[in-house]
Amino acid sequence: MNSLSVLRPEHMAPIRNLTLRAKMIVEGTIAGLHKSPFHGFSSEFLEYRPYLTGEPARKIDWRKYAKSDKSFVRLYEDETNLAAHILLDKSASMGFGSASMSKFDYARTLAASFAWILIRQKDAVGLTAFDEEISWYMSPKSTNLQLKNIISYLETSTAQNQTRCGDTINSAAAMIKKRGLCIVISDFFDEPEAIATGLRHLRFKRQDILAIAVADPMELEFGGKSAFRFKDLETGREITIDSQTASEYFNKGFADHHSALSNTCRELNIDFEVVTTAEPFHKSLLKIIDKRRRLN
Amino acid sequence: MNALSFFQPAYLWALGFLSVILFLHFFRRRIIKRMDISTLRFFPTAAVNKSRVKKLVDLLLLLARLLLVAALIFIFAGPHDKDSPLVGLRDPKSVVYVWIDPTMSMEYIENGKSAGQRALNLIDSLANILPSTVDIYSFDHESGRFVSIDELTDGNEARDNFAGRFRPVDIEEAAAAFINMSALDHSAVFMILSDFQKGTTEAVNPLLSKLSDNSKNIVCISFMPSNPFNYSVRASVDPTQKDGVSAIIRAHGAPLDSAVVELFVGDLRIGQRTVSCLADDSVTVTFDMPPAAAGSWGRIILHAADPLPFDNSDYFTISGDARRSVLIIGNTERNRVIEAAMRAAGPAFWRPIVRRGGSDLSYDDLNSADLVIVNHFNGRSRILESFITGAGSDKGIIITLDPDREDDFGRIFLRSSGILRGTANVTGSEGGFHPVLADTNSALWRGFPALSSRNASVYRYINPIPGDVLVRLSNVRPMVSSVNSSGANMVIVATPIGVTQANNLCETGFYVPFIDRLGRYALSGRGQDEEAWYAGHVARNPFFGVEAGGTLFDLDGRLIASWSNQPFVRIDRPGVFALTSSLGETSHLAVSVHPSESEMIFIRPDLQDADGIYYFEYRQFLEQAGNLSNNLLAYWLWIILGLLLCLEVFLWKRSMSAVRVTS
Repeated sequence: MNSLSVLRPEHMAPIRNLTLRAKMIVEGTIAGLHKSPFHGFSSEFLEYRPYLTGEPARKIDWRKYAKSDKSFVRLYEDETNLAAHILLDKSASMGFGSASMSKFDYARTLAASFAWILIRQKDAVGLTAFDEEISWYMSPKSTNLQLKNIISYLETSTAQNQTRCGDTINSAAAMIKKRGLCIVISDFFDEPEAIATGLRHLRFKRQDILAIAVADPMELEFGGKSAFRFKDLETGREITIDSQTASEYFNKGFADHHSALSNTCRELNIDFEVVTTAEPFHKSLLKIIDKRRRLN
Repeated sequence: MNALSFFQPAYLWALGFLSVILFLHFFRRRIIKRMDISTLRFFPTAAVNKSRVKKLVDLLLLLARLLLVAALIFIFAGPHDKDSPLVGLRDPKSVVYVWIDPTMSMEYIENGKSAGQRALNLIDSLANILPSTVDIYSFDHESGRFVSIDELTDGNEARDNFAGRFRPVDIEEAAAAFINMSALDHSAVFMILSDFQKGTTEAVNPLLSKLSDNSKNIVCISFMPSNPFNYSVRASVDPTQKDGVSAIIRAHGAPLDSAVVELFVGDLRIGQRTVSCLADDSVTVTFDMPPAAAGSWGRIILHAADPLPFDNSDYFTISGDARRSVLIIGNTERNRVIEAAMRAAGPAFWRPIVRRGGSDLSYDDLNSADLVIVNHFNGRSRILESFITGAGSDKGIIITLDPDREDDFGRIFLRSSGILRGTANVTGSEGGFHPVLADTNSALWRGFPALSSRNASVYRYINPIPGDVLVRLSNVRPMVSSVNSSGANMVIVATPIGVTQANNLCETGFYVPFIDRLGRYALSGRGQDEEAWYAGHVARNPFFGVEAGGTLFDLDGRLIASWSNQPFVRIDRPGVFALTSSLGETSHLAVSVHPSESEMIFIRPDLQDADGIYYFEYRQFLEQAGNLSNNLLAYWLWIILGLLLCLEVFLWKRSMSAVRVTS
């Protein structure tokens, strides 16, 4: 058996200790990496130096170039001291799970893993949990105690209440003061326009945003043969509908919703990634990390 | 459909499958999976409404499927109208006897095929439609019996080709054969396939009640044309050739516009006329005839496009060898002198001459004779009496009275029929009285050598005889008279005309012309024109009663028939034929289409509201019979099945469209 195969959700689900889960995932996934996936976001400017031929053009400070008509590269004082915010959706819709793990369980495991990685490379990490409003906020710190507190909170939290994803991201953005990294983990079941407003606010606060949409496999490919009587986990409303109509509308609605989100993120230069609760954690993490590396 | 029944009712058990379909449908629909879902935001009101519509569509789909299965089961069960006469045909034990109208009018072409050909095709269709155990017999007009259609193999002309085999309406013969063959068979069906032209219907109607009385099922299938019309031509030839040849053109059912009529004598085209004729009217055009040898032949052709082409030509012969047959009844030895006198007077005209004693007399003998002379015949003969009283106007009859015999047929018959009164007695004298003619100017005695003959003497005679006097005796008593009484046209002679003690006529020169003139007078005005030959109709055999035979050829030299001494003969096709006798003489016969065939008068048979008699139009029969084939129901059930299939596909596609959108 591949050593990474133990990181599949069905194998991780029995491990209730989130610390151990995060440690296994991170050490199994990140151990072979030579360079931190999260760097280059420090805001402390040191000096300019002339641009050398052969360097990536993106390092050129174009403002300086516009003023002086000469190419310079900005140097920063410290590239590893990153302030990261993890925004975790804990609304009732995240409690849905047709597989071994619910979306919330998967999301908090991912959140713990990210926190672990960031703390390990001495970056500051904070956690904001939200449903219809912000229910928990921890400002970024780079101490082990911070990691312990984050994991402790994640272990005890449950998915409940309705989603107001866009508004709460907007509110969280207002609380962020410093430039940094923002990891939003949610199913984003809110109006795309509201979500776009929140994300736009985060970008305004000079946040490098990583939006991770957690989806259940059934949501990605909804189907069935019998009629359904659905109960909304958030509102408690019930409807009866045949399987074919349900498949038609849900699959199309879900695809359109994610398409709208994807377009918004592309416009705002935000990394948008969809992960399913059936995916092994290491694959999800590597997918996200690889994408960020390519972008950087 | 009045009363529904099924050929295979066992198939109806399959309707139980409907409950399986119902069970599966509702069982599947009954399962509703309850599920908590992350959001209902992707299920707008339209989705719920659409789901409700789909539920309705599913119900319709269920209904369509139920009807589809039910229709299929019904088709296999074979529903039918149990009151339909055609149902009886499907009885595996039934026997079908078919009579196809053999008259020329069945050659009427409609939609590219003649009625006769369609009738033959219908028999073929019946063989395919009916169960293989059903025996089908077709009436063979030649042999007069029913023949299994299995014996009519492919390539047989009788099966494959109707054209050119014309016959008179022989349904009476066919009905008799049918009754004989199906005496104990109640499932026998007699099928009459005809266009029901007037003549045919008149023959069929009396038979229908007769067959119905025998508890037989009769199915009349009509090939009556929908819009009948026909043009015909008929030749009328003046025997003296003075007035040329007349062509009588008739237009039945539609006007004839500018058609060309041509006259041919032999192969030589003599003349041409253009004629027009109103509907149901006739016109006559006359052609001048060039001098033509007696016995030559000609034809008149009408060039007109009509559905019945056979009567567009008519044939004729130039008369010159007209002859009359003579039957002399009575003592054959005593009457030999009459035959000798007639042979002497007109060897070509009086032939054949047949003598019969009386005891061996038959109807065929009487029918085949133009002139019948009863002389020296003693006793009574029912055949002869009924013949004389019913002979009508087309026979010449001469009856002589024998004063020496009380049992003389002539005296007995004339007394019993009231023509000869009780006052008539035997009269005579030793010296005798000689015959005196009324004149030598009348048609009867024109050109006779003398008004009287003193050499001829009549010693005994019957006096008086009734009727118009033709010859008197010198004592002014009537010797020969003409009588028309109760339909009997005859010449009565008061004394015998053969070898007799009552007179010496046969020993004088008066005798030969006297017998010849009497014979011709007896025939005159009796419709004794030259006998017409009609295709398919029997005619008297010209060789009947003579020691000779003949062979019939068509103009191409093909052998058509050989005739010996049978009473009647028939020629099937119209045309001109050469008749060569065994004595080496050759004459021509012109055979025409019978005038009744050209008339487009069709009459539906009188079904008389009798049970077991049914009438169908050709297409109607095929339609209904076809519906009975292979246990399958009428076409409308197939149409319903097709519609249901379309509905099923439509609903199914509608139901599946949602899946295709997402895929």
